Amino acid sequence: MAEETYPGADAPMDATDERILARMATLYATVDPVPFDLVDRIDFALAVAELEADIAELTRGELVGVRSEETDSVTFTSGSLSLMVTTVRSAHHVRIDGWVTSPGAEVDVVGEGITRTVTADVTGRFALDEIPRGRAHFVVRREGYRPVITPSMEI
Amino acid sequence: MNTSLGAQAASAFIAYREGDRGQLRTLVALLTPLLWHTARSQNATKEVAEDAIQTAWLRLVDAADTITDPKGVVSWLVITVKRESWRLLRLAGRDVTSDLGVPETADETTPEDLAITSDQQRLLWGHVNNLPERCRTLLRVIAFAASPDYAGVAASLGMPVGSIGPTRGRCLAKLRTLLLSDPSWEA
Repeated sequence: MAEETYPGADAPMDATDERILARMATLYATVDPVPFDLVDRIDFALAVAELEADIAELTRGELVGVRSEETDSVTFTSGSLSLMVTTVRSAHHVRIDGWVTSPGAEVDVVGEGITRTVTADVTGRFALDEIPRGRAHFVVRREGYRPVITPSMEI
Repeated sequence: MNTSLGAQAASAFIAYREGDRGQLRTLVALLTPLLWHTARSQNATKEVAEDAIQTAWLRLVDAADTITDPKGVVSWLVITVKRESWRLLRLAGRDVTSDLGVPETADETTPEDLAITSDQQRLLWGHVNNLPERCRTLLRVIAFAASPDYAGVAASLGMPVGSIGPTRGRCLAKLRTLLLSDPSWEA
């Protein structure tokens, strides 16, 4: 076939080829960008699958958006379990004050590259300090129940 | 940045299998652009592309221990995304084998032409669209891999092995000729 002998096809790749491909990557990233939240949604689906967890729904507040205020409060619910999370932001970190309707439950905060675990007290309250800002989700573990995972939110 | 995508993916995958669960997120962040353009190059709609990619990752978690060579994780994902895209498109009743003259990557709401803002990009876009569909598919995907990975990614796409890799290959040679003979192209 004529195509088999296309001039230059057998030449080794050089810097010009690399540049052309790099520009193609930029071009396709412009005309057909990966949806901005796709990586988050994949991470979430994988976390749910790994934990065999129930998914909590957001019942009050917002997961994304411009966080102009310093504090913010959201509530997640799954079956009889509710989790209320209040975030207080400083420049780079977030303090989380939470309350869960299951005293003694273990709560994980899974952020970008970090997981922190805390145990709720007898009233269901818990607090975590120095959490890096960014996206995070919560996992609640209780004796005798499947773990409950929340959608990820901007903290 | 000197480490190839394949090598970075392999080391994240090994660490994940050894129990560092967070490495799975590293792998997802690393490979999602390549997988997105793999699915989209197969004429997958955005919805199908997302589903195919998510399914591929879920399958990887299930099959993690059955992948004998960690360096094969990129190929494994590319093949799975490609097959899953085709399966979902067939389910949706789309004819994926039709050779459409224009890449079906056009988004109804944001046409590519509007997204392109520089003349050089417009020029490249024009030449890319003059390539045979097969070449567009191949070059679009390997553009998101690094050179040591071209051969493996090309093979995973079902393109002839050795048509690209250490050598330029027909598709890139064609595009290169088009660009270098275009006086407006700033190499």
